This record gives sequence, C-alpha cells and structure tokens, in this order.
Amino acid sequence: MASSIENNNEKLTLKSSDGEEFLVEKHVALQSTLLQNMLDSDCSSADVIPLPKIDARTLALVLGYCKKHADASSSKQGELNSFDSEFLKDMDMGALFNLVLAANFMEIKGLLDIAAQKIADTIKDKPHQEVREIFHVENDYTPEEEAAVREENRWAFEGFP
Amino acid sequence: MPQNRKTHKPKKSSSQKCRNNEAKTLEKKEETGIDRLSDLPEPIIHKILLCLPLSDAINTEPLSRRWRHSIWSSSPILFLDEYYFEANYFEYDGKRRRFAKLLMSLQKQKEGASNYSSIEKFGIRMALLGHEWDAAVDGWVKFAVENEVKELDLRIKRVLGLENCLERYRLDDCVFACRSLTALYLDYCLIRLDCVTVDLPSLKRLMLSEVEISSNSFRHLIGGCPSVEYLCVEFCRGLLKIEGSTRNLKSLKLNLTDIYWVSLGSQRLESVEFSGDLSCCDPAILFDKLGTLKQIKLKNLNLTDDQLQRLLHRSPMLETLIIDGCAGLERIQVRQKIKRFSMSRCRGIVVAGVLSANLESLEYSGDVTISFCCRANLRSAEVRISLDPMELSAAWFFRLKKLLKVFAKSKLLTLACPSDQLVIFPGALCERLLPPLHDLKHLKLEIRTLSTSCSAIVDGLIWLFPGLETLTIKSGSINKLIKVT
Repeated sequence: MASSIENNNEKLTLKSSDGEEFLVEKHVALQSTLLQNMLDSDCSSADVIPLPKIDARTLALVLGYCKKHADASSSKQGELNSFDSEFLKDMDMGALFNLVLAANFMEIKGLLDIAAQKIADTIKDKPHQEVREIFHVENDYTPEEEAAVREENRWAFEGFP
Repeated sequence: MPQNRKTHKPKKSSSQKCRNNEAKTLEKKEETGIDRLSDLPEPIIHKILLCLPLSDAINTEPLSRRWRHSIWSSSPILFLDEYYFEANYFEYDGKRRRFAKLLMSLQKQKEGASNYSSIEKFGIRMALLGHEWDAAVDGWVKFAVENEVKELDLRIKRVLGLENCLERYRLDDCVFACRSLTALYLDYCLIRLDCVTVDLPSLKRLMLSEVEISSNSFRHLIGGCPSVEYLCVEFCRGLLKIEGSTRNLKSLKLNLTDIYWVSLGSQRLESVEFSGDLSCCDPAILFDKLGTLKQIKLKNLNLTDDQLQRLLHRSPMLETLIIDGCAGLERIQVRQKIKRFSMSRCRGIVVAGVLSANLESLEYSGDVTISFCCRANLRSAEVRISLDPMELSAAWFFRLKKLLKVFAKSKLLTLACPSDQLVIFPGALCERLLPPLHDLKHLKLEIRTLSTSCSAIVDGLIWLFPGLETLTIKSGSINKLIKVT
C-alpha cells in the first residue's frame, strides 16, 4: 500500500479555461476517469492538460473533492459522506451547475452523483411553477397546452401521499 | 414514456410561435438569468430525474416543451398510465380497452428490440376489467424486473366487469426476487407470499396502499427486505399485525385503523406519521419501541388526550411534534426537548401547554378560543399563527389579543391571514384592548389579499405593539420590510 502511494507521487499540471494552472498529484487526478484515460494512453504527464470548459474557481472545488476522496481510505466512508454533504452545502446555483458540468466532463462519478442529487433536492416537493422560477425555465406552452399536460400528470399527486 | 402518450400538437402556426418564443427567450435571459437547468446535457438531466421520486420527476414535464418532448422521450423512466387514454382509474370506462391493447402491442415491440436501454423507474396505473388483461400487466412487470428496475410503482385496481370478479390483481412472484429494486410502491394489488422466497436486499422504500396482504405475508415480505429505511402502510386489507425485524428502519408512516399490534424492532427509527383511528387500542401497547424517535406527526388521527400523553411519554428524545386534524384532542401538554411544535385543524382543542425549554418553532392554525400556556423563554422561538375566522366580532378581537399576548415575547411572530382586516383592530375597540404588548420586536404578516397600504397597516398595529422594530409584509409578490422608528 505504502509503496504504491510513493510511486504515485508524480504530479501533473491542469490548466483552467481562464488560464490558471493547477499542480495536482497523480493519485488525486486519477479520481477523474477522463484524466485516467489520458494518462493511460500516450499522453505524457509532463504536458499541461488544458480543461477548456472549466474555470479556475470550479476546478479548485473539483480538485478539493478529488483530494479528499483520494486521500481517505475506504474505511472512512462515514467521514466522506459528511464531507460530501458539507461540500455542497450553501453552494449557490451557478457554482453548482459549473460543478455538475465539470464532474460530467472530467468523469468523476461520485461528484456527479452528489451534485445531481443536490439539484434534484431543489426540485423535489415543489410545484412546477416554482421550479420554473428558481431555474428561469422559459414556459413555451400555451396556457391550454400547459393545462392539458398538468391534467395528464395529475396521477402523480393522487393516491400516494 | 413517449410512445403511449397523446401528443398535444400546437394548433396555431407553430413555426411562427416558436420564433416568437425564441426572441422572447433571448430577451428574458438577459433580464432574469439563464436557464442553466434546461441547458444541461440530457444525460445529466436524466441523472437528476433519477434522483427524484417518480411523481416529482413526472412533475418536470409541464416545465416546457423541451422537457416534455425531448428530455422525457429519451428518459430511462417509463410510466404507463391509462389516464393518457382518458380512461379513469377510479371508475369503469370503455376507453380502457384501447390502453390495454396498446400495452400488448408495445410489449411486443420491446421484446423485439434487443438493445433496449435500461429502465430505472417503471410504473403502470390502470384498472383491470375482469381477468382479461392480467397477463399484459404481468408481462410488463416481468419486463421491468428483467431490466433490473430500481423503482417500481404499480397501481393496479380491479373494477367490476362482466365476470363480476373483484379479486385483486395478484402481483407476480418475480417482483419479490428483484435484487436491483430500491423502491416498491403498490396500490390495490394482492400479495400472497406463502410459498415465495422474498429476496429484496436493496429495497429501501416500501409503500403499500390498499393492498390485500395477510399479517403472515407481511412478516414474510419485511423479512426479505433487510435494508428497508422507509415504510408506509395504509388501508391494507387483511393486515392486523405489523410485525417484523427492520433494523434499518428510519421512517414509518401508518394508518392505524384496524391494526392492533405494531412491532418492528428498529433501533434507528427517527420519524413516524400516524393517521386513522386509535379509538379501540392504546398506542403504548401498540408500539413496543419508540425510544429513538425524533419526530412524530399525527394527521387525521382519532386519539384522546390520554393516548397522546402516553405516546409522548414513550418518546423522550422527541424534537418535532406535528398534530394536524386530530379533532378528539382537548387538552395537550408538550414537555420533553421539543424544538418544533405544530398544531393545525384540531377543532376540539381548548388548552395547549408548551413547556419545552428547547422550543425553536411553534406553529398554530385554528380558532383563537384556544388558551396557550408557554414558558417565559419564548425569546429563542419563532411563532407562526394562521388565522381564518368565519366572522369578525369584537369578541374575536379580544381573544386574538389574548393569544398575541402569550406570543409577544417570541423572537419573531408571523401572522398569516386571508385579509389585513384581521390584524387591524377596529378603532372603537382600541381603548378596551389596552394595555399594549410592549415585548414584541419583530412581526411578519402574510396576507392573501391586501386591502390597504402598508403604511396604514403599520399605523394600525403600532399602538398594539409599541416596541416593534421591524414589520415584514408579504402578499403575493410583495415582500416589504419596514423598519419602525
């Protein structure tokens, strides 16, 4: 175990969309399937890896998540769970959307899962009008169409409480 | 989802409207912000939908056309509802035949398709007429199970047909061996498990509503669901004893009518919700373990003062108590470490004593004739009173003032009422309503229809609450904070 960590002490450089460079330990970067695949193929870790879709603020958050998960051993699942819930707590919607896109792009499953759950929690138990307001979804139905769609979905609110 | 659904085609020049909408969208984006939710790639949106209960997920359909037509048509969620065919689940209806035929033909298509993308959530809602279509439903249930469905929602009712058969639809045994299943919602089926092995290791949520199941079968079912965290049992037929080992149960919702024994042996039970009739049994006998409870919700439960006290006595860790529509209660007393207490629609209530030292929130909705008795330390509590009287009289205003006097020491008092006329005391009464309540500093009004200006409301209230520092008035889109100087 110890030797494998030493072998992984290599570092690589990631570059955010706004030009900031991040030096990352390899075992932290391996949390991302995208980076893992790049390293597995002939891409040299000496190169700077550009991440053109991710800004520095989001990348810093993503790497914070990866570091925590790479460093914690599997026996500390409880600790990781509380880290995860703290990690997204009080995060504004803009940052959350940047994060979910970054997690998707970098293929970090755990982060994608918790970010999607967080967005789902915002939708849950709210009437669709309120969801529309929160996320600025443009209503392109005519009032008649909207009424028809809502009528069709009425079952969702009947029977089970 | 898409194939079986009526499509609502826009009736008027759709291309024109689309262009208009595009222009409008651009305008709006600059004004209010970007719709980043709908702009997410579809796989991420599907992921979000999968994090939601099926009913909340379906509720995103009316958001916009893209949600209905594009996002949903590729979603790993499939719900077949006869309602899309205008058949009514609640009564006999000839349109059902069309839906059943569609079930059959769709199924042939599905079976033909070799690389069907997986189903995560699956549901059917229909009323069966006689036994004619049972096989079609069975086929779909098997299809879902073979595709390792995670959430199954079956609302299968039987209506009186030519065969005069009212036996319930018997759920296929394959469901009880579906190891991928994490949530099972059943409405109006028959479960018979006498010689069936139940193996549902992943099941976390189980809801049975109007299901016919014997006490024995229930014990058998629960025995095969070691991970169950949420259990809801309502209006089930044949079920008298709710018994079993549910080590991981956290949340329980029960309708107690006809049930005389509950023993679930959970060490982690945190919240319960009870409804129904407790008139013939004692909750203290009914439940063997309630010591870990943090939340109790009683909704439309017929119980007496004594029964409530015994229930509370057995729950020393209680933090939240919600009582809604329990008309049998007259005098209640809440001690413990309760942080949140809410009482609404309890018509018989006369006296409520809230003596918890930890109180953070108190909500009351009902008549002003109630006498509240609270400890002096309401300073850390937020109080919300909802008023909706039948008529306004002098006596009503006197009682309101008496009620407000109890809560004047609270951190924040919120009054919710249909009209501002309820909180503006008639000038003629003012003198008789003295002395004023000096202690209140922060008041919030939530008013459905505002009939006067905000400054008139301030003027109307300041004599009663001379110590007021802030007044917030909320009505529809109005949300105004007034600093009183």
